[in-house]
Amino acid sequence: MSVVLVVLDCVRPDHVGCYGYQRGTTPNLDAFAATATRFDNAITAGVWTLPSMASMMTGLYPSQHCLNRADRALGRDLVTLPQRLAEAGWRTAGFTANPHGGRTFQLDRGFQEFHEFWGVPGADHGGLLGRGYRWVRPRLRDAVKRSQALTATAIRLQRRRAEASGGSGSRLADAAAAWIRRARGDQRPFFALVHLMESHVPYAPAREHLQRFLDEAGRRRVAKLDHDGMGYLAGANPLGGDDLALIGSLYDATISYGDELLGRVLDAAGDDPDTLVAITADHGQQLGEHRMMGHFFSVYDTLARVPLLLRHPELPAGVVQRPVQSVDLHPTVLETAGLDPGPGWSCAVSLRARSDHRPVLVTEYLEPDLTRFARFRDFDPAPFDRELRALRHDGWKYIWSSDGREELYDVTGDPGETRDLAGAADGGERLRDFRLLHEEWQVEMQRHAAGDAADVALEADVAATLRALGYFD
Amino acid sequence: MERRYRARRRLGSCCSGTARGGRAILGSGGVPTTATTGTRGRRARRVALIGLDCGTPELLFERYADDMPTLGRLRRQALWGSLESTAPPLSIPAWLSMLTGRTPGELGVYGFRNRTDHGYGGLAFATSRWVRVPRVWDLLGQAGRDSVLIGVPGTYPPSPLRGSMVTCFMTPSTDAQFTFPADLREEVQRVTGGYTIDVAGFRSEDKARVAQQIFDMTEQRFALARHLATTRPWDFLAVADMGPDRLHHGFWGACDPGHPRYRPGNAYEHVVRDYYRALDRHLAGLLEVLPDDTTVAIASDHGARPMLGGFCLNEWLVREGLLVLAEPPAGPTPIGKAAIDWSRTTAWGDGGFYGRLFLNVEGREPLGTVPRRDYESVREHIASRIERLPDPVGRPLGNRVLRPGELYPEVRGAAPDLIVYFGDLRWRAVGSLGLGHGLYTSENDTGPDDANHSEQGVLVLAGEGLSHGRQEGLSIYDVAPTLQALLGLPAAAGQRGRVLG
Repeated sequence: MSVVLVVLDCVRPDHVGCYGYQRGTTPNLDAFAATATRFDNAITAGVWTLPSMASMMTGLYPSQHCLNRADRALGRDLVTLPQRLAEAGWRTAGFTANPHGGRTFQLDRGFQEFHEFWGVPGADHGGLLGRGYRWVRPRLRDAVKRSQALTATAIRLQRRRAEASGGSGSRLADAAAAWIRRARGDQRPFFALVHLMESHVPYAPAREHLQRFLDEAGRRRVAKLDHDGMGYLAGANPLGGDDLALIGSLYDATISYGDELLGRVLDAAGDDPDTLVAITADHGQQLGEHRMMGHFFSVYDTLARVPLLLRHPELPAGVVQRPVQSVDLHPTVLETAGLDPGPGWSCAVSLRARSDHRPVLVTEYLEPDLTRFARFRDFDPAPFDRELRALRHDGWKYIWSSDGREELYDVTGDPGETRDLAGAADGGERLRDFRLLHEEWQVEMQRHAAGDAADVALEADVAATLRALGYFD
Repeated sequence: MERRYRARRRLGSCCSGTARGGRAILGSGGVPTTATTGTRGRRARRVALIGLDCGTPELLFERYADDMPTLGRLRRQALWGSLESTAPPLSIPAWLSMLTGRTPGELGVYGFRNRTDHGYGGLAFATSRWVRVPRVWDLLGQAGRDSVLIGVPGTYPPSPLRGSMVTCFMTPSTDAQFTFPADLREEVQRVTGGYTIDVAGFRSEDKARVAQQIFDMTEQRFALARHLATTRPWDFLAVADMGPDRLHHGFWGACDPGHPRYRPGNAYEHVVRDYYRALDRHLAGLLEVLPDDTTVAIASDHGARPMLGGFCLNEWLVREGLLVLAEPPAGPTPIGKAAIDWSRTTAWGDGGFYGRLFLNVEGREPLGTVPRRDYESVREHIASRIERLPDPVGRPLGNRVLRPGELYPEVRGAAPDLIVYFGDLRWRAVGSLGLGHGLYTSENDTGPDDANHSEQGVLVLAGEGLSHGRQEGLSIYDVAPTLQALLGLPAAAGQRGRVLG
């Protein structure tokens, strides 16, 4: 028994073919889906990479592992999935392009080999050129950041550079594929985590994918757009409906590119029935829905829903409607490996469980980082200063907000979450039930809080990569 | 309450079908509500902590001692004295330290607002989420016993506890969730007739409004404490009132002939005395409803002293050539909004009751200019310049410069490189630029303010088995281990301080 876990950063299920999307974004994933179990209602625990990956690796919720800020690393006492497997004699390797899923935050814990691929040109280059680049870039950035027009230009240049360099995804996929091929020749079971981030900003798909989703006029227009998501939130970058549609097409091209890379990993994993292959995303991406952009400050389904496909020797191929969470991968893999999920507690449930009964599915966004709005001098970010927690139960979704703005959606009838029923008369009793459920859930989480996250020291290349990905504004 | 427990069973029955089962969690009852013996052979008791934010020994023990007969009676049967606060003596780190037994360095909290990383993004408010070590009520809850918390600084956003919580002055408004459990909100609103989180805009010239709100808030806080103390089960009751702090900031100058703003015969000359008389009556009302076996602790996070003026820290750094602006400020500009030429800046500061100085370090800050090998020498150079600064008439200002690495056993988060007490906290640090009146100001950049914080708060601890009389050398770090010992809980790993007795 071996396990390959592929995480597709920022990929929303409603832009994936086997989930009903019609633009042919994911041929490889769709072919895989034909032989796999597809979970139609999979929910992530965290809406950005750090909390979400920490949840996947530990089986804990963000309230428990506390990795809600980019200055915290995994607490010393937390045991990760690869750690458990390595202790049981497995070979473990991780491949990631996202610093928030990497060594800086101690999410490499338990991997005997961990390979980080920074896609930012210059960030991982030594020599004079790299040094010069690292010197110029932040100075340039600081000079331009007060001006929205210059920010847009800087992001544009960054995209162009990333396009020209092809990013790091191709190198990552090849390295992971080679490792998996070697590991398959070995007698020992293995666990490989492959975290691809082609669909993260700056969107820079390989040219042939771009051409499939945007015609020449569209490519010209999308290249000229301001891609600054924080600017969009702050009202400094007013993108219209057509602009958003173009960005959506560009996003599709990135998914298509990621799917090509996924194909290389799946080829390497082969169709050995004894290898469990899981494909999911750490979170979705907001593309203007609810007037939101990027993957912060919200827990709407544009972020909370993720694709989840599992080729598992004991699960029949097909579609499962039962709601599940990506943290559920943790007990599922341990159980498949014949290991006890162990001490500690989480709400994670093995994906093999047949029961439809699950108390509640939860997505959290905690400790909003308002310093990302600092460059907008006249913008008051107070409306974004709230913690959010979405609870899903019985086809309904309740959003708790620390500032008291509750929301309630019938996500079966209104999957776009367009009609907030919190104020509606029939929302009353449901609202009360959800409040109780929320309280109980918090009490249980608190009781099992894993607590003391460690501090983070940022290396210069990691900091440069994070900046290029749009963090630290 | 009843509803809560009913709901817990419901969630439990759901979880018990899971792979791991909810049994272990949900069957953790059976711990007696009152443990029989505590550490040091004491009988575990109930403890009521009455927090007076900014409670000052010179006022409570001396100047207004005769106006506070209840406190006086309690003191005669108590261990009491000045309580040395945290460095820096600010509500948020101090209350967190008092109730965790950890230093600000270990908590990574150096003020209300803190840097979240070494970027230039400015400061973020420290909230309850920043606290990653157990507080007294967490430890008590783990032992299966209940707490009631009202207004304890550092509790917003509310986190679940065994018991009830009304959050602190950092709560944005009563529209936010400010209680745990959430449905306690209606009851709080009903009992108080609309809960006042804090005196809105207490740095105001509208003194009549501010005074009225301070009196009302304190009355309300104690009324709520009486209500919850008598309607909820508890082993630990903690109520903290911001009234004294707001009063000292707003009215010290009206009452103290030694204060530069003092005008004899002003309308508010006796407002502080009147407040402490009222506070004493509220205190009596609360003590009266506490069960006889309760140990009572009255504590403050820090004290106050008259503020003589403000020193413009960033203005000074600009004059010294250590802070370089890309363009001069058009008018009064907070440092976070100023156009700074980071690539030529050595250091910048943030204002408040104390000054925080940050060095722009190569490889740490995005545009760092101070090479790491020069860090110590640059820092010491700036520190010695600050220590030698004169006051407006040329006498030594008496600044104290502290280094986090020397203050705390561990320095977490993005700490200031230097902590500066201007005039040993008689002067405030002004962070804004472009105020246009040189380095010294009698006005405060964030509104009129008469008082600064001092490092000495108060502690009065009365209960069975405790010694009586004044004690010297009491530290804020002693409070958590002492409360825990009184409650029959052991000290937690990593806690500082000693058990008082």
